[in-house]
Amino acid sequence: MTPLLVADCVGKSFKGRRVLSAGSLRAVAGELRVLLGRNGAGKSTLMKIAAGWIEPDTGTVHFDGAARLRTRLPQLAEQGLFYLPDHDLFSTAFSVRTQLDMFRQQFGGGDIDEAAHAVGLVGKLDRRPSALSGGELRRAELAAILVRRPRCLLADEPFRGIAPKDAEDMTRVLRGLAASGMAVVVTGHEVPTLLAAADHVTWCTAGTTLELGPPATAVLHGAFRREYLGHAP
Amino acid sequence: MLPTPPLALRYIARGASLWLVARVLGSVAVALAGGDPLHLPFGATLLIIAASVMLGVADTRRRHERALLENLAVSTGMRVAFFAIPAVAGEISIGVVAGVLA
Repeated sequence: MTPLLVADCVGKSFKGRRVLSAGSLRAVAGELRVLLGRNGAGKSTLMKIAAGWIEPDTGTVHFDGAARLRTRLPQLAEQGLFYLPDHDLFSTAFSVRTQLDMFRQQFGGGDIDEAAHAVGLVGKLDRRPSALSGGELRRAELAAILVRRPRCLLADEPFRGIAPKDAEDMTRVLRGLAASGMAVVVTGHEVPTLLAAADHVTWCTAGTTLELGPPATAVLHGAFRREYLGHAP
Repeated sequence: MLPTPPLALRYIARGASLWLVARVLGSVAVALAGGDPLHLPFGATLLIIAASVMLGVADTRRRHERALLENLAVSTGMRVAFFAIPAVAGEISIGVVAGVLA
């Protein structure tokens, strides 16, 4: 199937330090893809470039078949992308309900209370994000995705700092979104959870990426096992 | 994509309050220098508008609103407009009032 979003051979340096030399990322409708790699391997940088959050030094980003010289998140968001950063999706100035309502009104999205029910956040929508725990905040962000109903979701470490039970619940929701036709790409370090949920694994290593295929194939990849999973080949 | 009226109004209202702060501070500075706070020179007016926009942009950063606004398809130019529009409107209103009083 043709990918909805492609970040092709992107490179990025920060203050002379090469973080990515030729990383690629694909988001395919109906698939939940996971991007794995060690800390500092460039996963978040690749996600940010794919989302139009930062500009690459080299390479291109295509969305819905169209390449853009200067990709910007607002333009991609208009076309159906949702980028969940590893922190601070919500403003501290408004309640969660107000912000979910902004998404609903802007994009004609789903029902807010229904979304809150789906992620287990009933009764907490009228709080400000600063009054929520880390797990509740991640659930609220998931509710924003459910209300927004994007065509493509890039989620950077959505399970960071939450309990395993919450991670399982979130995974179930993400799997449901992919099953409904959304193109989902997730990063993280929760390997068992992510591999159990994924349709495809991309490994980010040494400034580049390797497409390892389905999890069952990925775990057989010698270098991936040795250098990332820590298993003997 | 244009923001919905409720979203735009929230930010324009914030822009108006920030312009008011910048305008009061600017007027006090002009009054202390012996000038007429209602009749600011054109350069000072531009400076107040620029300060209002800068305050607005800084405020959105302080509140960590980049991800929210960009996911809502609100561009950087639109964010600047949220804070520039009330400042320009406020300065025009003061100019009209000052003209009538004169």
